[in-house]
Order: sequence, then C-alpha cells, then structure tokens
Amino acid sequence: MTAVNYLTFSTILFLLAIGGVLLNSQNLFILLMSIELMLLAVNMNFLVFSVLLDDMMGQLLALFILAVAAADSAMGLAILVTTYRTRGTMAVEYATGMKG
Amino acid sequence: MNNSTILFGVLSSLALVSGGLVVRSGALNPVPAVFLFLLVFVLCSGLLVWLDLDFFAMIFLVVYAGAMVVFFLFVVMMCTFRREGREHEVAPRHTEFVVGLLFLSHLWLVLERSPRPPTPSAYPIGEHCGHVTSATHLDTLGTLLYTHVPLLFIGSGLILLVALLGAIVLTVHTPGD
Repeated sequence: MTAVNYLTFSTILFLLAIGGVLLNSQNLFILLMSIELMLLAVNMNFLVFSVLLDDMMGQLLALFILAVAAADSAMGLAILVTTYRTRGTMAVEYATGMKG
Repeated sequence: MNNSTILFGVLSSLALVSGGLVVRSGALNPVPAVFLFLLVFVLCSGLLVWLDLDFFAMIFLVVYAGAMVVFFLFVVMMCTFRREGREHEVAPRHTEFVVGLLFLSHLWLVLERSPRPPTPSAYPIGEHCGHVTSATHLDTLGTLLYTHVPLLFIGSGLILLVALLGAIVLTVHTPGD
C-alpha cells in the first residue's frame, strides 16, 4: 500500500464533491455537505504528503484547514437557516435572491 | 495481497461509496445523508490511524464527527424539509459541465506531467548523530504552531471569532422584526 492509493482516494473524493457542488440543484444542504467533503479530501491530501515528505508544515496546514472548515460550516448553516426562514425552501435556484 | 491492502481497500471504498450516496441520493431526504456524511469522516479517521497520524484521527473524530455533523443534524431537525421532489429540475446545465470538464482536463494535464509523487530527500545516515533529540508528535506540532506560524494561528482564531459572531448576528431573532 503506497501513497498513491491514498492520493487516489482523496482525488476521487474531491471529484465526487465537485460533482455534488456543480450538478446539484435540489438542496442547499447537500451543497454545504459537498463543500465539507471537498475540504476533507484536501485535508487528507495535505496529511498524506506531510507523511510522505517528512514535513510538519502539511499537518499545520491541516489544522488550519480544519478551523476554516468549522467556520465555513457555521456560516453556511446560519445563512441556510435564515434563507429557509424567509423563503421556506432550500432549492438552489432561489439562492440568487441573496443578491439583495 | 496482504492484510493492510485489504483493510485500506475496504475503508476507502466504503468511504467513497458513502460519499457518493451523500452527494447523489441525499436530495430527497437529508437525514440519511447526514449519517452517511458521519460515516465518511469516521472511515477517513481510520485511514489516518493507518498513516500513524493518531492525533489527527482523534481531531477528525472530535471536530468533524463531534461538532460539525451534530451541527448539521440540528439544522436538519430545525428545518422540517418538505419533499420537494424534482419539480424544479432544470434540464441541461451546460455551464456546470463545461466547468467540470475544464477541471478534469487541468487535472489530467498535471497528472500527465508528473505521474508519480516527489520522493523524500535522502539524508546520509549518521550525519545527524548527536544533534537529534526525540520529541513526540504533539510536542513538535505545538512547538511549530507557537514559534513558526503564530500569526497564522492568531488569524485562524480570528476567522473562528468572525464565524461565531456572524452566525449569531444572522440567526438572532428579535421580536421587533
């Protein structure tokens, strides 16, 4: 089992999440979960390269990405709750109403 | 094919299948999608244990599975979803396919240019004798965090503070409105 297996895994996860972001018009909720999956794949990539190259900086960046992912999901869910309260739907098509 | 390969294959393929189910089939009922999302994170932390990154495996479990997925579950339970079905299915979405194809072609170009990851630089054996002190993983991480990148550390703290304040400001419900 080499690093290539791990890199393939994280690449496929990232592509799945990209597909979820691009081809999803049903639900803002699934969109947020796809973004989280994308950040997870990037995090796995950083960690695998940090182990492969013996460099601690990848693990530090993984910590920072973790913090940013937490902030991201908090803000996204807050916006989603507000949108749902005012509009009563979660479809992505109506998200253009946030332009103001 | 030894045991580690089989275990890696089982963990990663389960994670990929549940990731795909999160992305595709969660559009009609989000609660199973949230649980599959949790499964992806747990399996990924299993993969990290296999890389000897036990601290990060624990952090993934605590932060992702403990905080974030519970947060998602709260929102699912707070907003009762109507089953909206596929009533507003927009027929062909060309822009998304073009963006996806651009991304795939970019990925293919990069992979074609460098098909294998870079190899670690090999230090001559015995050069560091007498200069090396051992430190645990957590010691190294803390030392680097507080001495090499303190500004990034403070910055990520500020980002978390802004997210906290923004979430409160967005969702606070004053009775006057």
